[in-house]
Amino acid sequence: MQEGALAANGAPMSAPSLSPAAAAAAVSGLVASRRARRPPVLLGLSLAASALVLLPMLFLVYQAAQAGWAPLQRLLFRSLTAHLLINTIELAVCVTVLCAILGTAAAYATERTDLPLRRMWSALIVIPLAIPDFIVGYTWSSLWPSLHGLAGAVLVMTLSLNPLIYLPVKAALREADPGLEEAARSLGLSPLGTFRRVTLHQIRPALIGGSLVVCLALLAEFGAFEILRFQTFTTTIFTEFTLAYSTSAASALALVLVLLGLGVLVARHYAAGRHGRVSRASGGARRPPIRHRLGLRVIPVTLGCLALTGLSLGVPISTLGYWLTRTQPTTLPAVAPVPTAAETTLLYALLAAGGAILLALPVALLVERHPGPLSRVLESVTLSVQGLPGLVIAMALVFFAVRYAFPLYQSPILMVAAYSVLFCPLALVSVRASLAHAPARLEETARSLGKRPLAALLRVTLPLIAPGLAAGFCLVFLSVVTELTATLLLLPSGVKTLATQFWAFQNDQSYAAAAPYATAIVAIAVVPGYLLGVWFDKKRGA
Amino acid sequence: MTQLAELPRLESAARPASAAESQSESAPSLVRISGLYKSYGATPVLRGVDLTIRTGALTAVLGPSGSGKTTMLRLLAGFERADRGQIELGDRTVDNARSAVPPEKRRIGYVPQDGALFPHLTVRENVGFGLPRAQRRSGRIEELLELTDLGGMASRYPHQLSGGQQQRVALARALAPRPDLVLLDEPFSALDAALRTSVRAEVLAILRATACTAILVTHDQDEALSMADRIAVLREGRVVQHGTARELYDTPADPQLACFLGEANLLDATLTPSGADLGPLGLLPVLPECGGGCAEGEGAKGAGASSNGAKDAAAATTASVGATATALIRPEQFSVDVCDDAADADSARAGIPGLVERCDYYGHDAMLTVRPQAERTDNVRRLPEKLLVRMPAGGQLSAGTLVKLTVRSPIAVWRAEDVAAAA
Repeated sequence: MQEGALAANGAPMSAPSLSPAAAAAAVSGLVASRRARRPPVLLGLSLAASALVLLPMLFLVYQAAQAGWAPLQRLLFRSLTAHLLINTIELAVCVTVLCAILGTAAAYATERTDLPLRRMWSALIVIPLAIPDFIVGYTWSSLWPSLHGLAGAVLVMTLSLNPLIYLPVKAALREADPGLEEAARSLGLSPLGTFRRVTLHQIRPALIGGSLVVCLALLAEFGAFEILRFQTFTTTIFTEFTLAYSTSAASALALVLVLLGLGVLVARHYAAGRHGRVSRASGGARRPPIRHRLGLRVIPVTLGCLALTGLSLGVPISTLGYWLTRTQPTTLPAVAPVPTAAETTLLYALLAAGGAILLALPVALLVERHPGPLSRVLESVTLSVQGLPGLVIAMALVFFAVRYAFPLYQSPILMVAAYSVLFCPLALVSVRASLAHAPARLEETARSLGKRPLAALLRVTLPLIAPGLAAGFCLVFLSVVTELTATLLLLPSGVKTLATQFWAFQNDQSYAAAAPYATAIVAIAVVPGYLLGVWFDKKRGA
Repeated sequence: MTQLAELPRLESAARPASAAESQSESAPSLVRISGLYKSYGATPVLRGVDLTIRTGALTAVLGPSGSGKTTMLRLLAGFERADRGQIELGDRTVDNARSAVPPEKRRIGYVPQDGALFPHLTVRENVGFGLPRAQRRSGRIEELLELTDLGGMASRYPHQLSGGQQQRVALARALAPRPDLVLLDEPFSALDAALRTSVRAEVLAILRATACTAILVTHDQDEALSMADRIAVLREGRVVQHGTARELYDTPADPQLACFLGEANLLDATLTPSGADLGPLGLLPVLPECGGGCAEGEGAKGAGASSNGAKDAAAATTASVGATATALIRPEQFSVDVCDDAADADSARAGIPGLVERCDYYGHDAMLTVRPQAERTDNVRRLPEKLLVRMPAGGQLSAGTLVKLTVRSPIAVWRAEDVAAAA
């Protein structure tokens, strides 16, 4: 019950969308419900997972509160905070608008026109998502050293993040009912008018959802902004924490960042909630959407795709290739050669992916099989981590380890725990989606055939959700390989992953020495990432 | 009962089940549900279900959507637990609202709506799923595959089967561990109309071949009437009536049920010692099972309700002489005479004259909508605006034809006070 109380107390501050009353009702429901048929083991595991996920948040608040209100006020209400807020808003508005335009245009071109080589363009547009932003930033910065500040940040982040809008909008365009567009055309609307008055409404939830994910990514990004010398909350917090050792200043700013992130998350929740209102006019089998004939317009559209993929994919890859062929004297000794660093990275990524799945599985099962207020609270708590930048989670775990569990400080366990918590939402979303393939009816049928609950789970549900578990595992794995911020803070001293060794050389302006590490990251992340994308695409098409 | 034989509807429904029917009267009861209550949150779904099901019979639980029939099945299977009441299976109490036997210990086979085959297992593995490891090689799987005519499909996966084949696999899987009872939850609703009839017949044959006790949940009255030995009608969480198809169709517990089970003409009547006076339609004999006492106790007493009604028939009739009542005339109880002209219609021949308003032709029969020519009679009040009349095959009348209608078999009546009490 201690964990239950923890979850209930923590819920109101971590997820503002939930009222304290709802949380209290959930806990009382747990005690009083006569129909408490939630398996206690599952419930216990879910509570433990949520508690672990909440831990960083609690220590962050505790740390800030320890400083006292007056110093906190002094730290928060100063020109630096205002400056950071303005930077963040400027960046968010510019990048989101540009990404929305580019992503929607690209999605429309590949999904609704007869553009040649659509599959290839689609793959090339999505791949940059797998290249870490700090590597994109590094390639542009090494190519064009005077590129920095807001302009540089907007350029690099737009090129990196536009697939986050491209993907959902493309899916929405594919799912949208072509009957509505046909009806609009038959009512006398021009193609442009149809897009503005019908199609745009159909893709609006996807567009809004994608834009908010872009905002979350911008709030959490650290490496690219550090390279491009653009000051945001993350870079300032990192500096305060690692160089100035000002923990109270860092946690005060982190609280602002967390509030921003959770705000975006809540907005996304409501945007997603409206999705259900987009109804299909016609039931039955899906018709493929109408594709517009481009005719001569195929030339500008192809040039546009070429420019987008050239800038977002061609530039980083060719710059990496250029630096790989260069030898540059470096004064910095490499702590770990590429194979050693790659081994470390892979080991951590495997452990973390397993950890994240283990955290997510009980929560997903509880939410899917025993819906109710309590499971909703647990799911919201777990998903709220999406609003927390890796930097904040890592920092909170450092506080925790230093104060309460010093042997854990700079231990591999803490590193793996941080990754697992950080990427638990990714795993949770995959596992929940895969549970749709294993409805409770199948488990019930297995039980009516004489199988105990555990046997039904192992023989029916697990084989059916295995592909989803594998997909979630891969997603977390890839995310860990490309993670930088939390790794910089929590990696045991003396150990280097690909990302941290790259960072060390990059900081030293040793671009050529950094290139092999960046190439290794891209090779590890992009190839499986691409395969995973193709697999998902096929599954959705089928 | 003999006078009913001429009804085409019931003739087609007559089936070799009559043996099973009479046997089921004496067979021991397998399932006894008493006072069962279940609600989801604040929404009551079952509100005091009493039902006894005898060994060896196929019982249909019939009800409109939202009547609680699937919930009842899930309680029987053990997927849900009762709020109040109890369920007995043979001599075991499996749920008494305080403790419940888990589904895997109940020996109840379950065939869900869409089959719910395990998609990662072949047909053979699906059928063998519920068998202990040792029994999987005993030939039981082959036996069932043969019974369900799936011998050639053993190594296929569910997505490679048609809808009807999937249903048969689901049934074979449920039957494999030799359950005491099989539950079928709207097993045909996912199939298209053409396939449904044949799959229904196959499933019925398989169930008969295994002499299995089965409960079929359905919202399709034709399905229930044609398949089941006994039918329990569920409405708003209660059993309205439980009896054979013929009892339900001829002497339904109340007018609402009469309309639910098929087309019905409801007319005002006055009870007399020699039958029901329907004014222009004359004095009609009343079915002995009914005798104005159909609505008595709402059939909620379970299996025995209708047969008890029969014993008291005569007494009830005399007791309620002079009472106003509602009479049920099924469309096929009318016989139709075509009149040559208005004079013929006015003639002294028996029956009431009417004007055909429309004729819906179905091939095997035709349904006429007839407007009684009420202004020619003195007792206008008692005739409805329109009467539904079924004409056997071959007949097709154009709108505007003058006809004369007579009722050719005994009818069911409900005393007005009973109908009011039930409502």
